Amino acid sequence: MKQGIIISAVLHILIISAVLFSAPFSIKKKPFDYEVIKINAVSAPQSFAETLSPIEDIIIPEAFPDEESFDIPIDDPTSVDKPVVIDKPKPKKPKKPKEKKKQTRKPKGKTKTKPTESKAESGKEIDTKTTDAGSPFAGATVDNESFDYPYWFTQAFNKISRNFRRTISLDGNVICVVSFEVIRSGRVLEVKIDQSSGIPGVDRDCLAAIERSKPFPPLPDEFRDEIIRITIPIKY
Amino acid sequence: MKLAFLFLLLFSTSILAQNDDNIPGYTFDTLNPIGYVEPTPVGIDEMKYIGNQYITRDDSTLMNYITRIIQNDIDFHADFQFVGIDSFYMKMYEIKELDILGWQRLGADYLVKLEAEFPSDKIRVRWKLYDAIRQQIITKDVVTRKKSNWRVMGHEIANQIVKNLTGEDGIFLTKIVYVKKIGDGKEIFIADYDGASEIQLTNTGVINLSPCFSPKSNEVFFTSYLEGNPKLFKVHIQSKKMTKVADYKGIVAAPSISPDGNKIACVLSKDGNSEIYVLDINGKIIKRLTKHRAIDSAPTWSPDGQMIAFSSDRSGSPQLYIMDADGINLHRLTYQSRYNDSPIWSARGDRITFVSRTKAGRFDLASIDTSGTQYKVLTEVGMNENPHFSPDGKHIIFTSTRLSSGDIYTMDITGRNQRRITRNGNTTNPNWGPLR
Repeated sequence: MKQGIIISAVLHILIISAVLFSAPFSIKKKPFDYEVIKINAVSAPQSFAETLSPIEDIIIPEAFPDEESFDIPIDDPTSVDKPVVIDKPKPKKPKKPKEKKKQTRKPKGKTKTKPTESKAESGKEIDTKTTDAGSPFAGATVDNESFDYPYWFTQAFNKISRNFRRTISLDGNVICVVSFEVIRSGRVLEVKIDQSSGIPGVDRDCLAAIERSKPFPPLPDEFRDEIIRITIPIKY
Repeated sequence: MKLAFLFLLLFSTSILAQNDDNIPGYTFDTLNPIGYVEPTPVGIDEMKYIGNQYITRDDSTLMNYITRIIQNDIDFHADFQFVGIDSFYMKMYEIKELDILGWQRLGADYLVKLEAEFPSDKIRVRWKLYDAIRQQIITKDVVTRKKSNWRVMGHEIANQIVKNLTGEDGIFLTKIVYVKKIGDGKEIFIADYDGASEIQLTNTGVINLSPCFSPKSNEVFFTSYLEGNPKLFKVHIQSKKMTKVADYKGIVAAPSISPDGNKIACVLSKDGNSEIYVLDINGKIIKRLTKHRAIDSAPTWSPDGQMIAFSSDRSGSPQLYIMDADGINLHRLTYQSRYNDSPIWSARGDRITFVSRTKAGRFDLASIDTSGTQYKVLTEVGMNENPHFSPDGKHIIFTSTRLSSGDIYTMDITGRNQRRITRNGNTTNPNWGPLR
């Protein structure tokens, strides 16, 4: 009897200990715990003395930008780091625009897509280096050949991509062709489905993405016409 | 008998380990931004003086300050990030001045060049926006202001840059209001969106809470304990004149002004417990919207003024609900977490941000689609409360205790680019003003 009780008690203690010290209940170190490091610029390691100013003794996690760099002392306009401008500045001559070259960007650890390259069914094919918005908008066209402003398309497609919400799970084999008209101020006049995907939910999501992205950036000053129509085959 | 007890013990621990993840149809999906696109890098060059006269040290400093305002504004915006001159790059290649190709190599997709002159007692800035990839100018403009309005000038230029690149108005001239502890009381303050130019609006010595901008007039509505029980007041931003708006038995709290500026949704307890009411802008009751023995609070209007979201504990714990603006079609929105409160409807209408008690036991900000899906947690550090959207719907302002007893922070709607706005502590309840 006594032996049984002892064995039972030991089993209970083992099980309870296993439960208490298993992963869900263990005390974890909180993320982003701040280590307060008091430093003395004289005695600190060389790397700290170089990178930290003497008043900064709290290490801010990398997630937060350094707000100190944007502090502007409004009560002390005379304090200035730059030297006083005393040289008479030379008037600048406007530089002639260089030849249009297709520039390739240096990758900086960001994932950026390749330029959209696909045949257009009608209108001028848009050749633009879109960022993460690249692949869903391959094959986009504009109805005016003189509208050659990649930066405008980059911003417009980025905006559509940000506002795109998928409400249906599909594997990317469905295409819905939408078109919309943009006037000089960036206002959108008409959004419509040129070719339905066959699934009402997909058509609705594609239309909604364009609607949510209004208004688009204003058309460039150099562009003479008042309106453009953009057609996008959206892969869903 | 022993086996049965052992089985019961094991079963009980598995019950303890259950959490809200097991609610069918809803899954946590944290820190996965929706529609996330890399911010566009914009290079902003230092301002150059193009006049013919000698300029003073103060004028040189002024040029520097305006450049910093523009750089900060562009870096703040959710769609852009600031690219500055890389001093190491310049020294390495012995470059004295970067041309557009050089900026493109630094990673900028766009470039802003600034030039200044000083006609009489004013400053005139010519700014040009370039496509750094195609090395073409996109647009240019000239802004002239008094020297004392240097902050406004910087924000105006940044607004125009954003307008040209996104088609939408910039928010850099908007204001924020918040509550700061002064002595034994809490007073309402107003400041620029970046926390500059702070001005105290109330000086009552009592507790004032929940400031809320009117979208139409230059007034801020708030709850005040000036006359004992909390009542609804308003203060004029310029004259700082306080006026009582609503005085009912019990509490009058948590005002939210409708987008058209004509109605106020707020909490009244005059009928026994906290219920949501709609008042006209003068404080007269139009309609009672909720009739439940639970505590209903924190109403927020949809941007089209057709619906109201609020918090209620009618299901046993505070959760979010949505109803039409006349109180019908009420349905529950949130099922994630056992505590969801303080909803705020995005200016774009598609998402609601709120305070949610997360698995870590903290109060974090989360956002959810208005259909109740795509729940996302936006913060990870400290206790975070009182969210409010910017008028462009791309940024959120909130209170956090991550580095102090409470300060105001901003972030974009995906939770990135979190910035501290106030630094004095004991600052809460922010509210973002409208575009004007």
